[in-house]
Amino acid sequence: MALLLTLAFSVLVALVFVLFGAPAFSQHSETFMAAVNFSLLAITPAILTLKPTFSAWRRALLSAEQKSVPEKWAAGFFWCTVVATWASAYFIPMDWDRPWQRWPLPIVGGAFLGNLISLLFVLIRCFIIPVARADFEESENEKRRMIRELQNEERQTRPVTRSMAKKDL
Amino acid sequence: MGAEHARIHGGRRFAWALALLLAVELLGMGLFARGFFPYKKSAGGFAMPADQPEDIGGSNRTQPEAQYDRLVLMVIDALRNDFIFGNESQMTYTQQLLRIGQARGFTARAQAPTVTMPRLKALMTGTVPGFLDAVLNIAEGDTSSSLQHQDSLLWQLREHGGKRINMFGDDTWLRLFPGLFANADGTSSFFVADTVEVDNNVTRHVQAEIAQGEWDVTVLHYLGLDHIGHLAGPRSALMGPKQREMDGVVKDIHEIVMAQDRDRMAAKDGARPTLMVVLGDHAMNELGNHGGNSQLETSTAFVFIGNNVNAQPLGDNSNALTSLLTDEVAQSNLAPTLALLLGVPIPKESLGVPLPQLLQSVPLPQRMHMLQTAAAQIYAVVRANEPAALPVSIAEVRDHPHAYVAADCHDQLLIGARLQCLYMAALAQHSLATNDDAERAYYAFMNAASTHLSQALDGYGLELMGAGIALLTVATLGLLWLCQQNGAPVVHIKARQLAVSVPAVVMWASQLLAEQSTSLVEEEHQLWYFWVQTLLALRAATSAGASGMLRSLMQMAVFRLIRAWNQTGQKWAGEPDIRGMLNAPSATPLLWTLAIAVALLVNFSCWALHRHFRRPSGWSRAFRVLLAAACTCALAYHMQRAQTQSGIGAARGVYVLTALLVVAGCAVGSGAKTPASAVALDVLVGFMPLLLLLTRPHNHTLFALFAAIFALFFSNPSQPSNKSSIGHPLRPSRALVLQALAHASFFALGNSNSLASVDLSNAYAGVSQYSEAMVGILVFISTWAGPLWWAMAGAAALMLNAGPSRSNLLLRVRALVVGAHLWQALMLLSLSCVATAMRSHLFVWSVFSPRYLYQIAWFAGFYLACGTIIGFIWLAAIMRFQLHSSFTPAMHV
Repeated sequence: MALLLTLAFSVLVALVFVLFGAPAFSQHSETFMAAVNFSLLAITPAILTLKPTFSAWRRALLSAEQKSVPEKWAAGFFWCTVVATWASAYFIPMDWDRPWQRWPLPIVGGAFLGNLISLLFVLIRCFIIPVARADFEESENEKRRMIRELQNEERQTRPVTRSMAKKDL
Repeated sequence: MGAEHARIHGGRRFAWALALLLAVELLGMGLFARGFFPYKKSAGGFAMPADQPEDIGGSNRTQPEAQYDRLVLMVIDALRNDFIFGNESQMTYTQQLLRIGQARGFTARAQAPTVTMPRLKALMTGTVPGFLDAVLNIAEGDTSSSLQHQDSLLWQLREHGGKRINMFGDDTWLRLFPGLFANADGTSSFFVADTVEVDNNVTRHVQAEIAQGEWDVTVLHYLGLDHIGHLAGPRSALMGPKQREMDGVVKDIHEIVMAQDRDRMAAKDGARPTLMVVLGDHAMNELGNHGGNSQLETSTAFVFIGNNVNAQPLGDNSNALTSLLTDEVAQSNLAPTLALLLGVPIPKESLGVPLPQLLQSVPLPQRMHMLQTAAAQIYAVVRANEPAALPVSIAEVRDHPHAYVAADCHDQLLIGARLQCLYMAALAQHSLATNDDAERAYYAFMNAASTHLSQALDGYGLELMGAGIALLTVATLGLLWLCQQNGAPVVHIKARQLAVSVPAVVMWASQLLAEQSTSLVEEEHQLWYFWVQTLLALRAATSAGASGMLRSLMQMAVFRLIRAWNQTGQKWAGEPDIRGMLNAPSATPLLWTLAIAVALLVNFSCWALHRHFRRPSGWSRAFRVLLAAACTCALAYHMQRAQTQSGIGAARGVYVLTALLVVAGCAVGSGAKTPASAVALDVLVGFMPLLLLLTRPHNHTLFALFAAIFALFFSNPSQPSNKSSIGHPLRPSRALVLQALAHASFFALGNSNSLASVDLSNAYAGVSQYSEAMVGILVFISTWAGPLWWAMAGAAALMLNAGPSRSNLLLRVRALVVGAHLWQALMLLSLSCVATAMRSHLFVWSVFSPRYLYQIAWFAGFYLACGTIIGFIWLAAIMRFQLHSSFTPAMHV
């Protein structure tokens, strides 16, 4: 199902490629294969994780609001791949006359590179940071609990210096 | 209220600060350009017969004997090598001469800039002229670029050959050599529309002057072929007949000259025959333009016709002729070759090497003497440029030849010493024996010296360039400060909160970076197209509703069509495009249908606009009638031009009607109930006939497509101003998209960063007498037609978008103006630095110099003169008219 959706998206992506300057009347299969490649790398993660509604996609991919972990995951893959693919198009007009400069090789490479970066990015953003934050929050909670206990103890023994104890914290 | 009042009053201080900074920038740019474009002061001096070296081979002569008495130099402007040597050439007589060995042909490689004046200088002096000559080529009144004080072949022929020189044709020759010709008739090279008269004016002198007149050297310069190229390209239907006409002239002259030679040589013992040279000054690309550095533009032809050119008969084999397409020599080799053959000293600063093929018929001792003379001349240039090259004493070499013959010159580290070693080895070889070894040694030296010198010669004024860069830096920093005071580069103004737009900064930063790369300068259009689509896609992605997204996507689709219209640049310039489709003979009805449709659309939108704003006054009706008449005139002009008529009347009609439109527009605009946005749109519509006149018919449709994109920005009346645009940090402002569109439209109309794409045929609409200012303005409007359209559209957008507050509008204008100038200043500064850093590379001439000229025009012509000064006048006028009326929100276009 996700693959079929990806294929459907590839058609749209290919159209966007043409809008950005891909040849319109030739090399259709090349453009389409580049679009499939791009969709697999950039859009499939979103298909797998997001609810199939316009607003959910919009919120996850375009808004600047606070996001959940799956949304971050989808947006990470999407944006890193998009930006790298976009930037790699700059290699096409260079006059180096290298075989890999032929359409659509630069943007295929760019998509892969962007995806590699996004893996790292997503790993940090969706796994390392939440785990670290959970760890941190747990230890904070522990600290708070201990402080509370300490305070209770103090209140029972020396209620006069309560304000001082608070200050120390 | 108080704060608002103060801000309006801050306007005067702002205006003074801006004017001062722009003046500094202009001055910096001028200084840099003065130092960068080597306005080459020649070292001065002329070669004298007394300075010529004595023959090391033993004869007592100092000047090699002349092989020819007379010379006919027939220059055919823009003669590409395949026009003579190609299979489709119609020049059958010339081809026959080549086949039977009466002529010798070469492909002559020209250097950029491939325009007439620098090429003629190269041909006549053997030097590599500076880039500024390309500009002076257009500024026809300039006389400072003449060759009066520089040594040239023609000067030598007259002074030391005692020749009587006549010239008929392009008056560039008269400007180059004032007072040199005994008899001359110049034709102006700038009526590109005329392909017949210019040549008849030259040909009528063939019978009168060559057959009957008195002459030793005749220069003919035919322009018709070049004009055909400019008008319709090398595949034009006029090209074949023109080639046959030129071939006929070659035949006539050849026959006249041969008959005269027979008589002269019978009458006088020792008389020498006549040499005839048919050559092109530059060639043309597949569009018929020239100026750049591409293979086609630089491939011109030399054909030497005469009894003694000693050519191998090529035979009837068709491959034999086309093999000449790859038989390459440098254009600068002409001057030393002709000087030697006609027995005069070689021009002093020549970097050329005499063509060995033409010297073959000269007896060996004399030939060696010629080569020695040529080598001595080029060694003098080496010595002037390389301190490591020391004076060479001929007596010394003659006394100890063996010491020099055996020297291994490649051990020398300094190029000057290496060239000296090669030169002395050749002299030594010559003094030992006049044989082929000596000839080879001379050519080894001359080729090495010529290659080195033509790459190394630079005449930069580094102090001026440094001063220019310093001033530009000051101006840039000042503009940055002014930006801080008046809003960041491109800003969203929401109440008093200013925020830098991320897309704007990324876009300009990437364009600045791209200026550092030669290929991205050549393909700059690709970057703008890419950015316009990127900005529109960002707008689609960040728009609030589905309709906004759909509109942005539609704009992208329209723009995709626009980018397919004209292929330009270098890498993909030859790809099929819509222009090519429309200009195909079979598509003529479609071309005119589209052009008429655009004219109708202009009139319809004017009618709709006036209806929308409910202004049924007499002036409004007059405006519409004038507009219809002007559009008709513009169309009539193009149709007359298509039938190779001049169309001067129709073009002048457009000018007069445009002036009347301005009057009527002012009258309509000053009406009490006219909103400012309606006046701004009237300006856009009213100048359409002028833009249509000055652009080619196949580009007219582009304006309709521009209008479609523009209208899509405002096609949603329920959403007044850009309410949603503030929301997302990545959303590009409409002003930024309009600016990107302005730059993209420059390229969309077929322009590029090469001088070759300047379309001169549009620049003489309605001009019957050459006037520098007039033609300059017309060239500018014709080349910048797209950006000018978007500038007027941007002004209209500003008015359509303006809220009721006047001070807010002024603040916004201020931020836009200073932002645009900041980026232009950065661009100018970065280009100046790149050009300085790259100044010793060859592609400085092919890439960065033209780019710098275009940047000068962008800054001084577009942003400063049109955007700031005219824009200011326009805004002041609108403010005056519209003091009382309120601004209306968005509307249908």
